[in-house]
Amino acid sequence: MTQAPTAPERLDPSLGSQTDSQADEVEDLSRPWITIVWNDPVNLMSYVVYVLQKLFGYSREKSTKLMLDVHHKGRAVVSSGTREKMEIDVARLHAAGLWATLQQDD
Amino acid sequence: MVTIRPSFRGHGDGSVTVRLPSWLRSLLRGQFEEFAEVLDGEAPDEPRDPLEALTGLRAGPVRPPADPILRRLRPDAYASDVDGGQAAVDFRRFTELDLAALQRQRVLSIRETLSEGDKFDLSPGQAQDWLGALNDLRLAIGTVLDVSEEPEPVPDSDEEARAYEIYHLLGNLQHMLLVALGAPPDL
Repeated sequence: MTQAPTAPERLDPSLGSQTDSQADEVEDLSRPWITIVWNDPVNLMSYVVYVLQKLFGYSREKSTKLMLDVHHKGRAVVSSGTREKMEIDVARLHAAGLWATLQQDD
Repeated sequence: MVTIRPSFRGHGDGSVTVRLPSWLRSLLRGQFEEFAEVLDGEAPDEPRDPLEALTGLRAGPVRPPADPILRRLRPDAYASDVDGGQAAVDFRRFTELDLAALQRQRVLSIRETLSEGDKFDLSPGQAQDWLGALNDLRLAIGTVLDVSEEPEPVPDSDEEARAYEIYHLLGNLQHMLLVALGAPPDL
């Protein structure tokens, strides 16, 4: 990520309103799925914070901490839950231009 | 002659009033016109699947785009070893057409408002279109320039120097828009 050189609600309406209605019945509940945001050198820090607040409803403080984790550690887990829910989160993050993947927690 | 400085004024409800001088609107129109062509670069495949032909329901592509710009804008959702690679394929197949349509729609939206005049109002939805489209174009130019967290190299050519200028200009505009939408100015 990068800072602004001098110093999202409608990212996708069709994805924004979905909820995790169908939990996978055969899912191993002891190992939830997680959504990871990866560092990239282009996205502005202020933009990443804004997106995390907007998409997940996190506070500015929590979003800023996650953004700094991504920036310094290269990645951060931004959400966890069922596989279906994480796929929706990843799709919304991709719509916002963030580099995200999902995987089962290890 | 009055010089117009770029400004984004938020109204607290997600709507934003924008002022941009004519030269800047013209530059942005040109950039987004080119970008629209990049987004259209890989035409959707013909239906391959008999089920698709029968139902008319289109499934998306199964492989990542060949163009590095499009690959960055539409990345894999899974690492290549999940379900032997099938997870990433299925995710792309079911989501990429929607993502591509959204990216095109945002560029269309920004181009429409750029043809209005020095001062124009963005609805909350249009402001989000601007935010997304500015970010997508920065990602595209950043990919071409191979931007990294290392200090910026001395440009090889006038063309590259120009691309860096536009990249930074877009970053400034995006930051101003974010502040108008309530983001802290100091981050």
